Amino acid sequence: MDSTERIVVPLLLVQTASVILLWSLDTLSVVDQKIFALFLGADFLSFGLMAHLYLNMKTGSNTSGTTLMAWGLVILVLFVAGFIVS
Amino acid sequence: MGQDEGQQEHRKVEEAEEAVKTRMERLASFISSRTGATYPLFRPVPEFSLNPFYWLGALSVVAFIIQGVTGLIMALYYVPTPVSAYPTTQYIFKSVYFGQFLETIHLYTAYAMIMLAFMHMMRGYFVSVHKKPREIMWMVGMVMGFVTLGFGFTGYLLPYTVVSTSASTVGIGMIAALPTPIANLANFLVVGTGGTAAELLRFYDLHVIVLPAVLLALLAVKMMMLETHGVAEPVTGSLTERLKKTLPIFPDVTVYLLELAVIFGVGMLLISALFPIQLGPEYTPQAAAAIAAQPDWYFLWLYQILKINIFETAGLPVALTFASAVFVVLILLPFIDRGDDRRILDRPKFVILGAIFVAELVVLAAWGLITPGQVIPNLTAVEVLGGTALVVALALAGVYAAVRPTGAVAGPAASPSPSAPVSGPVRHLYEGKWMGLGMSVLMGFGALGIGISVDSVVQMIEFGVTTPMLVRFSASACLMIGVVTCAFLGLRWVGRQVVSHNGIQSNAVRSKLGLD
Repeated sequence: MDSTERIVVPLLLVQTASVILLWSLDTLSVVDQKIFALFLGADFLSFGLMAHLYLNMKTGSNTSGTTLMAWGLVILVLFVAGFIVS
Repeated sequence: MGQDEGQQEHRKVEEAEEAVKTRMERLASFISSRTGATYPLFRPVPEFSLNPFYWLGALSVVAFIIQGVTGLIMALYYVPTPVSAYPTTQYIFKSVYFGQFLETIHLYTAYAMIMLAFMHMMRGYFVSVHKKPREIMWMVGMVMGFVTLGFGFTGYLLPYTVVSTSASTVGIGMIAALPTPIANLANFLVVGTGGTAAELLRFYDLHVIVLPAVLLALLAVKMMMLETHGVAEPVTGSLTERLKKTLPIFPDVTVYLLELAVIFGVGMLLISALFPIQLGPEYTPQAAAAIAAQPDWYFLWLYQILKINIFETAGLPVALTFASAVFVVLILLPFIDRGDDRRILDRPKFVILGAIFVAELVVLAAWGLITPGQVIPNLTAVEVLGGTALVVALALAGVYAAVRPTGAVAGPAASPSPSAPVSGPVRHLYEGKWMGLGMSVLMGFGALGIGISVDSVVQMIEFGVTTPMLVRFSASACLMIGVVTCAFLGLRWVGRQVVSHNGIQSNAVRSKLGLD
């Protein structure tokens, strides 16, 4: 795996952790509905980034460092925000 | 014997061909052979289409799927009767797991679906996807857009709040103003035997059964035609070999669509979490009498048209005929805009008309939002709507004047005169984006000047000549003179640049540019 592909490992970890955390929520609480959106958003965006990397590899395009950083930062913000709100 | 050997040979060739096919190709081949379809199923997609603007329609379908899932869950609890509609909606909000969140996502994805469908249509209009051979695809897409608005209309009534019920009642009342055969059909579909209970049940049935079935059927027809015609090529720029390369629908294009879908889904999730909707008060005739009925944002343009004084007095039929004419023109667009040109630069008339259409819709919707229940005087309507059309038309005309090669200063294709042999760089220079931006700003100011001066004249005719009005009129006239002067000097400067860059000595060109 090259340096870009190695990012898949933390993305999978984020996905696993967010899915596990989703099951711990109180589904009738308005605050928990926000947490649900934040964790599910982090989960979805991790999948989206993996799809983006896969397509770039397939089409031979370069994945820019800025895109990776920005996308990763959004995932991190959502994930951390989920903990802060809870 | 010879025939048997021939058959065996043929079978071997078929088996060899089957062996080299991928799994998806075998599946496509199976479906194609069994259904008798002759078009290539699962056609590979060119790489240039891996661009979100090519997938606005697909994202609209993603929104439809999200609505289907959330709507199905809500349908487990909702009861479509006047007595139970509001309490069951309230129950979903308060007692169902993630109920408020479900309602919010359902509403916001409905908004997104309408907006994406509109963007998909307007993108198609500007890049001419409605032209040969995709005329029928365009017409099917327009009907799908109409069905999408139908979802909004029928779904708005279901919570049975005072706002939603009042607005839907106004909408139902409009049916009577339609021509008799259409009104009878609409009554049969929407109102049934009459009465609130029948209406609510009809709206619910249309919303969850009839319209989804119609939309899915139309989607299938459109997808079949997409398989036949493929994705329309971009209208500008030349495609590199890499962009022309095709990618298989699975897994590559599917992964791309999933990537777009999750980004869209995250957007919807976060907006729904940040701005959860609240259920309004329940409908009662007394509560309804106290508010001005106002539709949701996607019907505000129609609402505002209906509030213009001339349509109030001439009656609903005229207003509805006008609104229906817009839809008819859009559906028949492939037979109206029939030229071969697809480039935006080569279709100034239709591009300007399209831009005016979008601007008028936005202005009407915003205006309808801030003036609930107010009747709009005819003169004000003419000023606002005419001014909007004028500003957009002049601004775009300015852009076209600056960027579109014409006459002697055009590239070779547009300069028939042999005395003006102008080569590529002229066109390149003349298509400068800064010049285009400058001209559009100038034309915007020019339109503002025209608008203010016309308004000043109208005010002076109506209320008499006053000093402030005279000053206002003079200032707007000065603004127009300034704009014309700047535009003239700007174009003259461009002309000099063109000549100095290309060493054009032709008298015809010099005379056309006004340099002598």
